[in-house]
Amino acid sequence: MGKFILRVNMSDLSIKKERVSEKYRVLGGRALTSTVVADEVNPTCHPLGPNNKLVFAPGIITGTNAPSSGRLSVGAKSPLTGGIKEANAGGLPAQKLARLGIHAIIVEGEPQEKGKFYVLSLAKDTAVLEEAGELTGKGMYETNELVWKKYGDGVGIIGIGPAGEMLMTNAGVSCNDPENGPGRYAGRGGLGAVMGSKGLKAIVIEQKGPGEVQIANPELFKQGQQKLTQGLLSHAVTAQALPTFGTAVLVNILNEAGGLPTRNFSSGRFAGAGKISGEVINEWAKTRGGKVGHPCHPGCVIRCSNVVNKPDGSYRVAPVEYESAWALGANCEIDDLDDVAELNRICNDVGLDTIEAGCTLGVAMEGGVIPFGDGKRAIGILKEVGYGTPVGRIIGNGTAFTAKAFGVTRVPVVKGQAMPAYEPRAVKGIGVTYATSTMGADHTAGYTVATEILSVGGKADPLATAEKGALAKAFQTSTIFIDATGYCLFIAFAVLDLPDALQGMMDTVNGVLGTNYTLEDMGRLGSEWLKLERSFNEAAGFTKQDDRLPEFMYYEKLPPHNNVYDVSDELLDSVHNG
Amino acid sequence: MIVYLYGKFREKVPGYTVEDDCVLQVDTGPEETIASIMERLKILPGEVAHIFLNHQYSTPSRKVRAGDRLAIFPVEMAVLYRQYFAKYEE
Ligand code: SF4
Repeated sequence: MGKFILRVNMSDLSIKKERVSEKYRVLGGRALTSTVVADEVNPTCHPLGPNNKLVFAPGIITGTNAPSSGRLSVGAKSPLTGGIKEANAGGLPAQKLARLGIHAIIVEGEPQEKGKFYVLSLAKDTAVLEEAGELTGKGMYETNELVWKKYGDGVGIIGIGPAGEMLMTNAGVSCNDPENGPGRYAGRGGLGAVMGSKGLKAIVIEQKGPGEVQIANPELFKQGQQKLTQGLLSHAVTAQALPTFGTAVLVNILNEAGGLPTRNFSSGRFAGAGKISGEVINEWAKTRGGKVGHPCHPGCVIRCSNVVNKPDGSYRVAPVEYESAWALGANCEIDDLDDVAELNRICNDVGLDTIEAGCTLGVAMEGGVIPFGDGKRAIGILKEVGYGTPVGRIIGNGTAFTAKAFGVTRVPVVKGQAMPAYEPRAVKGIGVTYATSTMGADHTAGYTVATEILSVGGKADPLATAEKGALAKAFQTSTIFIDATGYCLFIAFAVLDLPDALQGMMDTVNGVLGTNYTLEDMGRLGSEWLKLERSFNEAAGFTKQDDRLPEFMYYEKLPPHNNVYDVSDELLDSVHNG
Repeated sequence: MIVYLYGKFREKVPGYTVEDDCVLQVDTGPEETIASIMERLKILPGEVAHIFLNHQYSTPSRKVRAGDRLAIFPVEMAVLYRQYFAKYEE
């Protein structure tokens, strides 16, 4: 059986199986979702109306036994940014979709009956739309539990919580992890609201075993798979740091760098950072029986995920990532990790992106809705999102919306999307990525280039050199390439340093597709795909003025470095036009 | 100067906890560098992932002075998108 595309029309509830064109055959993940969106979605359409389309695509490598390659890309026009959006997640669904031969799912139209929700149930040779029934209105924990009860333990679930059902623009798309937790989120950009607007509560995927993934050149693939695995298992970050401490190890590191955004981006240091750090999560795994070194999907050798338990040793949430610990902790001046973990759990349940939610709480605190540092009241207000109260609906619509509602001018967003956990005034290079990414402020849009390997920059301070515009673009092109493959972006730590691992990654891509891509092609293809995304955004109304950081960062000095953001507009404009 | 220790380096401070700052007060002589402080603390260069001197990402060759703040992270805490960080050298 070859690969196919499933086209699901929510207006007439039809499902069509379509052949994969040669143009789409060599694409996967973000490259595929963005190409479909660019080909089929009118850039000026309402993101929550019938003319937007929601695309799910496993990566090129996903479904094979290559390490850490089980990512699912979700794409559409974003209701948060108004531009093109791709967000990706691990968990069970992507590998299962790929092993059923599904190249992509395109969901279009809108249900005739507003407020009615469906489940798309997939198995070998079957695809059925069923009424969501009792799942409607349920949080993601209960949804996942009910789905496993009905469809069997181990099925993959892509779903939305009440925030998505209520079309809130901070709603994310959940993927279940191997224990059926809902914490693997394609969180950013409000794609959960797009899924809600299509009347789709969940996609359930029944699939077991290695499936039918096609590999054009198995010998080359195997060589590449071995090289990459070796690299991941030998590199200090992917073999030691991430499995031991998870990404939250960065809390202490960014705090020492003076770049941990604190109190709604008014300082780069948080006095309580140590209390919400990866080191504490690691300690709790020993004392409370949680877990570190947890894989979010079968076959991840990096295993950066964790399970954080309550004081009594019972399960609370998985995972607490760096971005979430920071957003719901330092950015709100909350230094109680139990409160932070509970806020994270609520995000996973209600169906919210944790970065956007933490930044939203930060501006709500600045607006006087609740005090900074008050974890218990933050928990209360975040729960309201799920209940759909007026305040809950404001919070559920994200940082920029909430700032407007409460008259706050320190608004840490680019293109309407909240900033992640690296303060651009302290870490200037990442500000270039935030400003110029097609996705809005997004740390994952560009940190992966191998400066030495690709011979770009390669100096001690690459972003202080004349080539920094070109370098920032190289960051973004290599990232979009990895996002197309279905590999977890964290392979980049090893790929960054080890030429053999990078070659291994390319060999697996060539092995699956039967192509002869070189490292230069990685840059060329990445560039083409970025151009496609930028063209969509331009047609949607974005100009170079949107490639800027928020105004306050240009005049408010950030302690402890006491810097403003001083990267010139000319440099930002040169990233994609240089 | 004050040295902040993280990860397994915390074990050099008796009674440390992972939640609280783990600090050592160290006297600095003339011509003291980060490398010489590390040597005094019996921290080998190969054990170290990241060094921050007064919040600046630094190489061990930098000179240190009284009143400085030095933070040292071990290799098993190596996560950092370090290409974004200016590295300060002497
Ligand atoms: S490294 Fe972490 S996020 Fe990436 S696939 Fe593995 S467990 Fe998931």
